Amino acid sequence: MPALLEGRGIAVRFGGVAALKGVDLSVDPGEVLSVIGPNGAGKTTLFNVITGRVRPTQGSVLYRAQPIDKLAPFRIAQLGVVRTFQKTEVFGALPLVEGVAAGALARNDPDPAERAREALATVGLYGKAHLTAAQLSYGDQRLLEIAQALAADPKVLLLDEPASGMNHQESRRIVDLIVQLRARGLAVILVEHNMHVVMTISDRVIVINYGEKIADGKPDHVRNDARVIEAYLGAPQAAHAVAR
Amino acid sequence: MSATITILAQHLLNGVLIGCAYALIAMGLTMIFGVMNIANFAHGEFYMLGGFVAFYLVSLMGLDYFAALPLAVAIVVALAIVLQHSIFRRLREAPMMTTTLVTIGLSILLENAALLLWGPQPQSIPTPFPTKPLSFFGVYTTPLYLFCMAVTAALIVVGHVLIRRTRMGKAMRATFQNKESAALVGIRIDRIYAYAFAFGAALAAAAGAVLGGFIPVEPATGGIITLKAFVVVILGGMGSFVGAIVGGLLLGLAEALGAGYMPTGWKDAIGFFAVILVLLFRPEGLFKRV
Amino acid sequence: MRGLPVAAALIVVALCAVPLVVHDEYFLHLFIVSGVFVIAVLGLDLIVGYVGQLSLAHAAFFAMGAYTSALLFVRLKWSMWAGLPAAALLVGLIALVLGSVILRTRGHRFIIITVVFAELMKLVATNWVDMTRGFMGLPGLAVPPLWIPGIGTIDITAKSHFYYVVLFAAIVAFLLCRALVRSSVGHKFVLVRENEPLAESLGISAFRYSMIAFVVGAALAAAAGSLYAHYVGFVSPDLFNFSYVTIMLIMVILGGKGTLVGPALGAVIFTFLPELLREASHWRMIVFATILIVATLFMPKGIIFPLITHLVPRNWRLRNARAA
Repeated sequence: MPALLEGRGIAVRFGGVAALKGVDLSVDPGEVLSVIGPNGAGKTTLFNVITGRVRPTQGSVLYRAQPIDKLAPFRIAQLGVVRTFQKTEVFGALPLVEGVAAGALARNDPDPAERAREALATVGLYGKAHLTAAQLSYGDQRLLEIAQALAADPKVLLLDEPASGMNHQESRRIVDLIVQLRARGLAVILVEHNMHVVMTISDRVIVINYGEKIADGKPDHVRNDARVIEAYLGAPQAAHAVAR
Repeated sequence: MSATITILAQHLLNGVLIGCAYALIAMGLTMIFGVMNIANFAHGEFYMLGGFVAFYLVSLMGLDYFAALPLAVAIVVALAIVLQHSIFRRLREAPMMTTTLVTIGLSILLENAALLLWGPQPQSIPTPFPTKPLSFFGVYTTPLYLFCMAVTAALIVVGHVLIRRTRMGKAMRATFQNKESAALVGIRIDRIYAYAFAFGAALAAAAGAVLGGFIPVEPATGGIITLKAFVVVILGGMGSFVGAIVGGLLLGLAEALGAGYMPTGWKDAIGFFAVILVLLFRPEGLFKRV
Repeated sequence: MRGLPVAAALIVVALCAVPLVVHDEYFLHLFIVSGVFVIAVLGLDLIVGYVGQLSLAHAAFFAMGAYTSALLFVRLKWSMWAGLPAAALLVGLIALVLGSVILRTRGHRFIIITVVFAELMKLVATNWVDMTRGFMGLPGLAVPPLWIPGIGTIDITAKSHFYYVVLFAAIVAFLLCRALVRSSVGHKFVLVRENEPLAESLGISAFRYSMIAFVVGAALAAAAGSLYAHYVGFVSPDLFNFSYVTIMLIMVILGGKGTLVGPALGAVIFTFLPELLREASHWRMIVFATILIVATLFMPKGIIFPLITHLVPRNWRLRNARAA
């Protein structure tokens, strides 16, 4: 049986620079796949390819065995592949319910406001539904982003550093939330720098360095991989320099 | 030379001057766009003001023509600095809707101020050049035309050198590509903004002052000029100097040929059609940025 | 919200009473013209206020509607009753074609191309002399009689009669726009305006919803243009002048973009105001331009709508006003 979402040999070049060099990945319902790697390794580019914002130079993305890499971002979202962003993106001026309803509206749900309230309840923001997004704290805005994505009824949810800038308690909430979503049968692809979060909840981890996949496996297996250790500890300065 | 070729050469020559003027105006517009990320709908008003101030100095104050031209440019640049300080400075980081509406408002303001000061009638700047036409192989021109062409062409070269060779020019181009990194390497963005704006205004005002002896200037000129300059900037690629220069010359030549061979009234449509075609088939413009 | 229908009914009754109270032909004329502007400006508010795209082609759509209706009348003897829907339909289609090209390129390019398009249309109106008579324009347009079932045929050429036609059209346009912005489509407009990349990433096509606003807005402008053409009886290329789009933008921005009510009131106020300031015509534009600059910089919500919400009880405010 084919995977729910599968990337085959995804390569991206920006001008002369190779951002991704033939990355494979696959994720199934009820699975958490983490993508880790140093800054600038190509993780966000990978998300951009999967969600249609960047066209792959080579390779393809299959969702339910159908290619989606030529579709517009909004089509991909409507199919059920939905993302959050590394830099917080919310509808700042709108009341929470109106903004979160976006995903439900997009798939012509008969009661978008109700779907929005459910999604807000799932992430624990129901009590703040009367506020506007701009009035929330940073941590709550990160949760709001997940609620926005959930209202779009995703089958595959891509989270771009959901726990970045969060304290221990807040990142616990994110971990609990992801575990809960996995139990619902969602496939989650996670980009995260907080290794504690990654190692706690991932079913599988892939490691990207300089646009190349250098490891793929269970968290314990990846943690002990020599190339991964080198990529992370070896030359952080050099890795950073390549970042931009 | 056969008659058809002579006529063709005549049309092309007619197009060079206006093409140089378009290039000058578009260079400034593209500079302001690239550095400040503002589509300046008031840019053509600097051209109009350059022409009117020069007219005022020569005709009404009796100043020498050759002294009046640089003085007119200086006066318009002074006005531009005031505008940059009072209005454009506030447009940094402002949404596109805001910047565009403000520059549209400014364009109306300047046009009507000119109307109030100088009236609606087109004015020509009196020049000291003899009006007797010169003929080269059957192609006619005037000393004034040659002077205007030489000045605008020289200004294009000067502008280009300033952008390419000077420290400020390099800093401006760096700001084009990336504001944050430009700030990181110690470029003072607010100064760059001020210089870019003054530079753009100076080129447009110079074009206006020089062409004002040749093509009568009226308050409504600014709006048309703005539009033509935008056409050039889109044709050449937004933020491309080479594109602005080549695009300006091409548009000037194309319009001159259009005026020669097409029914009257349609020559202004050439640029507009070209823009729509470019948008359809080469949306990034004929030339890439910077 | 209970007070709102009562207030709306009172306003409509007051508007219906205008010709009974105002006998001055000139003031009646201003009421009619402001009604025409209300229709056009509601369309502009959909584009500028709701999806947040600055279109400078709106006055051109107005003028194209006027010309379409005028040409159908002059060349084919179509009355306004056929010409108006035809104009709205044709201009809507043109906006669809134009939009499919330019709504893909957002940002500054979009704004500039809309001006370029407007200028191009002006050139066509000026230079296609065989069809449009160029600068001479098309005179002799007439207002057709109105046939109402059960009552018969009424002559509506008098200003006091034509006023009701425009009032009716303006109310219909307002109700149409209000229904649109309160529907899920209108909700998507606002989402696209507030954060386009996010809306796209959640499954909303910014292109499609900008297009809907663009086309409906253009059709409304064209309908307004058609009414205007038949009312003044004459069309000329001057209708394409840039000053029209400026004045429409002033109406929307100062009225309070994205509220419908604000721009509609803006249309009325900024039709009357310039006429009252007619003595100082150059100063008038300078004053307006200054107001536009100051309001854009310092009062992004406009003037008129925030003023009403101050005067009107809090619970009457419209839903989407919050986000504006």
